[in-house]
Amino acid sequence: MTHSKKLLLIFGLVIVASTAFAQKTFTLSGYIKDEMTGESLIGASFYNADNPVQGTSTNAYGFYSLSLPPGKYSFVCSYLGYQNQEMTLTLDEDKVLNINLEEGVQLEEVVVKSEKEDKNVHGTQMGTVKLTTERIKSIPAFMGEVDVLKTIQLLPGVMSAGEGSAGFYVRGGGPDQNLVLLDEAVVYNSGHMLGFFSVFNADAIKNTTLIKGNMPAKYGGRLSSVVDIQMKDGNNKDYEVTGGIGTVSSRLTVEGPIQKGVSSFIFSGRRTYLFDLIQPFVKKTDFAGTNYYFYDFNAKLNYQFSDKDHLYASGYFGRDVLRYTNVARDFGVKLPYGNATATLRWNHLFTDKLFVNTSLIYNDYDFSVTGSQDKFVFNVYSGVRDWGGKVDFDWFPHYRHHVQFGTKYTWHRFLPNVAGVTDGEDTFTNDLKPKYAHDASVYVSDQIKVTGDWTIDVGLRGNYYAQAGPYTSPHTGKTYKNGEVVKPFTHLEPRLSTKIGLNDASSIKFGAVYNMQYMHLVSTSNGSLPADVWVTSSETVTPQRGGQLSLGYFRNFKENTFEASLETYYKYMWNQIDYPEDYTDNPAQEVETDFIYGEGRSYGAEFFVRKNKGKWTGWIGYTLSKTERIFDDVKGVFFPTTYDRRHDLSVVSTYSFNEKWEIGGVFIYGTGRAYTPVKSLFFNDNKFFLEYGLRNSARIDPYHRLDLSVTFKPKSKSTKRFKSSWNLSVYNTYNRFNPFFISYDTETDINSGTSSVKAYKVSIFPIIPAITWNFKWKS
Amino acid sequence: MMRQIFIFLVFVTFLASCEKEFTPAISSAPPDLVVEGYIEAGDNPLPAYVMLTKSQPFFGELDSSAFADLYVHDAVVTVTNNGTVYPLTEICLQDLTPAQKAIISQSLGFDPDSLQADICFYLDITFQLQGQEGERYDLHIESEGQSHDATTTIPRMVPIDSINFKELPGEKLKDYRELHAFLTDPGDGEDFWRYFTSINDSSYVSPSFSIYDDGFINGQTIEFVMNNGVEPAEGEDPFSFGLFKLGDTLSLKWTSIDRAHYEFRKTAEFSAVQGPFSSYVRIHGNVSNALGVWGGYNVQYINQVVE
Repeated sequence: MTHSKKLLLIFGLVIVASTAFAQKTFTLSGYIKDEMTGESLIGASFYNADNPVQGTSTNAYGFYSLSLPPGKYSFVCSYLGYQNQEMTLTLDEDKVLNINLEEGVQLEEVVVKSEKEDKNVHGTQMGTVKLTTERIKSIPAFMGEVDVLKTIQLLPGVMSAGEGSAGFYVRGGGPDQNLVLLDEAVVYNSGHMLGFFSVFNADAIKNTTLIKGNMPAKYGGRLSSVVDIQMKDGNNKDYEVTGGIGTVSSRLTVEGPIQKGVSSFIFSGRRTYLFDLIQPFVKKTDFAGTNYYFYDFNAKLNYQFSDKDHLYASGYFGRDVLRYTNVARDFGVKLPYGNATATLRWNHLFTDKLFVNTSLIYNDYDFSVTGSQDKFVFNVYSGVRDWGGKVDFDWFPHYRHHVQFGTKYTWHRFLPNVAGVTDGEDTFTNDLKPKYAHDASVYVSDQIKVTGDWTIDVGLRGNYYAQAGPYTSPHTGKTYKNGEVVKPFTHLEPRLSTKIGLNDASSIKFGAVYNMQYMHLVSTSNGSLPADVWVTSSETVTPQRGGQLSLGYFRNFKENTFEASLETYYKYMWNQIDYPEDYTDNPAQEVETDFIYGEGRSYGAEFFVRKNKGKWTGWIGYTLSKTERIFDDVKGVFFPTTYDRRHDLSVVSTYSFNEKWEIGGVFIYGTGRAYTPVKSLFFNDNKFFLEYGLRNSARIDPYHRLDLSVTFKPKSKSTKRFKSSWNLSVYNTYNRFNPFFISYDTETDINSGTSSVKAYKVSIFPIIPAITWNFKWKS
Repeated sequence: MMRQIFIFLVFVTFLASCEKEFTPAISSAPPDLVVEGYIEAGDNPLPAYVMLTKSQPFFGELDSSAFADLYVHDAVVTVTNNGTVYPLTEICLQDLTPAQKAIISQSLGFDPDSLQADICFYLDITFQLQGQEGERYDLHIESEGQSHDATTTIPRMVPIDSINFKELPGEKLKDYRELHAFLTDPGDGEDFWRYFTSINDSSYVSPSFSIYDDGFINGQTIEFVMNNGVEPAEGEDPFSFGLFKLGDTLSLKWTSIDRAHYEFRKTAEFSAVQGPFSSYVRIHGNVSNALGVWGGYNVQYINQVVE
């Protein structure tokens, strides 16, 4: 029996078995939304106050469904940062109950205590953190730019790709092993300005979920993590204009109802202007025409046709544009790159227990660079483009079961580095052709509340991935037609997580996951660059494989004021890809020609304590971990990766003095980054060259930094429609010299027979203050 | 190409960067033998020679006596071609007469007038070893109880068709010219090149990026810009980097090299690029148990006044 047939059989069995629960119960279902804006609340809890095991939470569209035996119940609906709602209902028939929650003030004295704010302890998911944009906005931001990806770097198990970078590594995984989704569309390059800012404009973002390890079966395609970002739907009750003027960029968001309570829109844009401001000065120099900027544009429309049908259309378009001109040398470079995504989604309720979302998804990342000198022009372009669709079912047959199943298909087009040179008359190209792939999957999972204390989430995902034509094999010479399969891969990915409650405030969780990755991004740099090329698994490139085991202890204190966890993990990865140590890029050939394959392992412990309520909120995250790789072509011994950090500490804190003043602080400490030291110098061509020692066998200085911020909201008690606030942030407050990279300078005077060699640690960001003015207008 | 663009980006992005000098950990690993040897054919070929030195752990300053200690003496060095073994004899410049020293130092790229350092190398003093196009040359070294081997070939000459100098736009660099060259690739096989420039009879110097291959231009004629390896002197416009000053006499040394030689040069040039966006590059030599290169050159010289 093939893998696919086995999968279908299991899929069927689960469904049949679960229908047994569909008897002798009535169903309460509906949507949970924000009272003021109509935004759906993702992950809101709804449960029986007398028996919390009889509970559920909303899915990514704010829908919940709870099937219980007939009876009279006291339900509680809760969502962090919102006031709880309690209601008593007699369940003697299927009922629809839509709930609107009011935002609660964070101050301790007015927060309604909620026993269900303990998902940390009672959910089965491990290594999962949800962050609302409001929470992210209160943390000091680099150059005043609020950034979801930089905030998740402050969580244990997540390492920053480097000083100021929005790139990140999760539990020892590479930068290409993170699945970054924006409204279900994959974002292939999540960084602006060489990664110093992420492409996600916080004003347009509702929710960010990071899954560090035990990704549910509905997610696939990456080994290490999922960052699932949902855009706001747009206020469907009132018109709102929000924006800000900052040191780096300005932002403007407009949202409002198209038809009150039924449909809404949101448009959000941001653009940098630092170089625009200095253009008058640049114009007078030899560099006239030189400029750099980036911009983002998010748009979303939604329309609720009926209680059962809801349509969403959302899109993102963002670009970085760099122009460099040297008039005196008649030299110019233009370097634009960026992402575009579009998602069309249709929510449909088949029954009050069966929710389905169907999505059509398009996404594109393209990079190009054009340089010219006199009549010579060179250009390189690359990218990846997907067209796909997926159907996801949420089935709530019984309060003890939440079954999710679905299928997905994507057609990928990978454009390698297509390079061309023209000398004004002739054009020379490397003639590299795009590669294509079918990417299909089916999955099923069931979250089973076996007893009040024991919950199991079991899932299975089946993948079919195939390199496809048009393609001519360089190995066999065979030519493949459009869509014809060149090299297929079929794999099953089991997922398991389980929770055993020790008491109301503590639990133990265990998770196991095995997964595959069919697309790869290998960089010659220490992080990743916009020019790095995504490469498909093919007849040349084998897929990456990974497995992870994790075990955690979760405990909440003081009626969930504090949540704490200790998670340990062990992860092993096969078919890890890198370049050889003597790799130099050759635009005439495909990058995969030079790939080398090895294995990786990472293990560690993550401590996390978070205070969610009160004037003082924040968290402390500490990770003790070790991450290594082994390649036959790199001496054949395990070596630490550049992002192997033995100790990694983040302390994040905000304090609200009153409704006008708030301060925030972030302190980070990390073991120095691993780098490859110079073993010796050798003489050649009348100068000295560097011979390197074992890969990553030395450490740069430890990294530490303190950021502070102050937010002032004048007239915060005013009932005026227009409100504004000032935010002053200081990055690297005590001006720590954190080495970013090491460089060497060698000088040799052969005539006198003398030489000097100097080594430098280079840091890039000293103390950087930034001020941002934010405003909000509401009709 | 991409790397060069990112060097520029690094420059733009990190204008405000700050650097601190430090002393890295000194490796206790024993030194490696370093080989630098060439054999030439074509126009005015230099005599084949091999320079043997030892790698040094990281040093701050190296004075002339320490520099002299780099040389490896008393090695047995031979080159074999078509079954004939040519022994190379160790020669140090200080042992030569001023006239001999002048001839040899100039031909090997040193200025004999200002050369104070003693430079030692291994040479076929019978001058029987003459590089020939298409021939293979095997280098064998016995030194300090270890054997080292390398092989190179002198590939076919694919010459520059012609060169000319072009004006730059604007007034700023009106006294400088850009060097354009025309090259026709034969289309069959793989070809690799390296070039050097000499200005007004100075030593031949290769620019930072001095190598080409025919991956893009197989079988076609291309016009391309070549840079001056000689850096602008003090007081000259730094923007003239890579350009040629009007009235100077350029001697262009254009060479065809084999793949192994090209790989060594390419990795060496890439390894010199350092920054946040480049990891290290290990230089890929072609000598067993040693660092460095044994390379063949097929040489073409073009002399022209910059006008």
